[in-house]
Amino acid sequence: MGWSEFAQIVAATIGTLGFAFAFNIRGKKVFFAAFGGCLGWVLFLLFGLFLESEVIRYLIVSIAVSLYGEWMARYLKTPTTLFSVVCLVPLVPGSGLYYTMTHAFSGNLAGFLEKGTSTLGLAAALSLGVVIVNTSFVYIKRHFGHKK
Amino acid sequence: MEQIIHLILKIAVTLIESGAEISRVEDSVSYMCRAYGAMATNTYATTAHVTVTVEMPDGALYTQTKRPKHISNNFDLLDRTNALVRRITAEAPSAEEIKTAIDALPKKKYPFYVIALAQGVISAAFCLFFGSRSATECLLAFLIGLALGFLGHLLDRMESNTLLKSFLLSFLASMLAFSVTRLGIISTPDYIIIGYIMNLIPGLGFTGAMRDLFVGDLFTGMLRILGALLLAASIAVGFVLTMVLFGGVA
Repeated sequence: MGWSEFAQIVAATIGTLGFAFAFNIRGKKVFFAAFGGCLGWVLFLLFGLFLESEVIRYLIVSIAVSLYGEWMARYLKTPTTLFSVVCLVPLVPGSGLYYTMTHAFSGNLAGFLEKGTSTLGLAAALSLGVVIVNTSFVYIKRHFGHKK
Repeated sequence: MEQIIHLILKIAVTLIESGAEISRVEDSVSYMCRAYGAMATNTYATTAHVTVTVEMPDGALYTQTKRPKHISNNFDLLDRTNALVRRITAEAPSAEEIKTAIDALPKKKYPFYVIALAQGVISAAFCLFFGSRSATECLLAFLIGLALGFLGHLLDRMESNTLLKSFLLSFLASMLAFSVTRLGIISTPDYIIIGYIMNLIPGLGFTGAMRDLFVGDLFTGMLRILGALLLAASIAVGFVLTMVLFGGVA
């Protein structure tokens, strides 16, 4: 692991921490949310050692982080939304979106298509991971759990 | 009973306004009504309204509607409201008690300077995260995030339109980033703008929309996607306006 990866992990953790405050998370949940953001990026880098496709890594990490969120939500007795929104922030393809915009308006069609499709792929993988975990848990809760 | 259903809907609206997914809201309303002996409940919730019809054992029918207004991510409020739902389903307290509990819910967010500081930190962190290796860039991103965090608070207090707000913030952030690039302080505005825009993107709620869609709440899912697209467009327009004013990429 080089300095660049280390910087990314630190930045991802601090960025997630910032969102925990911006979205009004309180108490020890702030810590667990920031840890989730850190976990996500560590996993992303780790899978990068043997998986080349970013989209597949995004999908796997998104599923893993959502599972972490479900587990934490049960442990801390709080809605899952809280973790699934904040912990996944480092995976939001902000730079892809930005370069897509830049290319679109500077008339670079090839760049626009390339960045646009890759960003769309990442965003789709990200939400697909969330959706798979969330839908399964809502289903399980409604049919098997007399949780209340 | 009528009074209690009114309070239950008040709780449902609070859940929606603090960022809950729709399936949670509908389930919560049904659970709570059943705690008071309802035989059947029909709940329909979207981000724009909640309706419930409750059928009591004596044959009485009650229908009520309520409208959520400003939806934001306020996870502390969501957490506490959810805890209140659990309490009501378990204990079925009196209307008086529910009323006191609702009034005791914390409506406040962190103080505005903490949120502005958080936005500065988010900008700087993602400036670094997306590849900037210059301390000056990160510092500038922090300052821009901080300043616009205060401005955002001001706009919220004026109850400005959300679309106008994100347009203005994205426009000012890119204007500032382009200006310091023109002044020669940094070589590219890219990382600062990306860092700042990261403040706005997760708030779009795109994954939230997807979650609602795939659980089967199509209507809310569509409303949320439409909202997210409009917000994304207003962010893009803010940025593009800057590019036009500066005559292309700086």
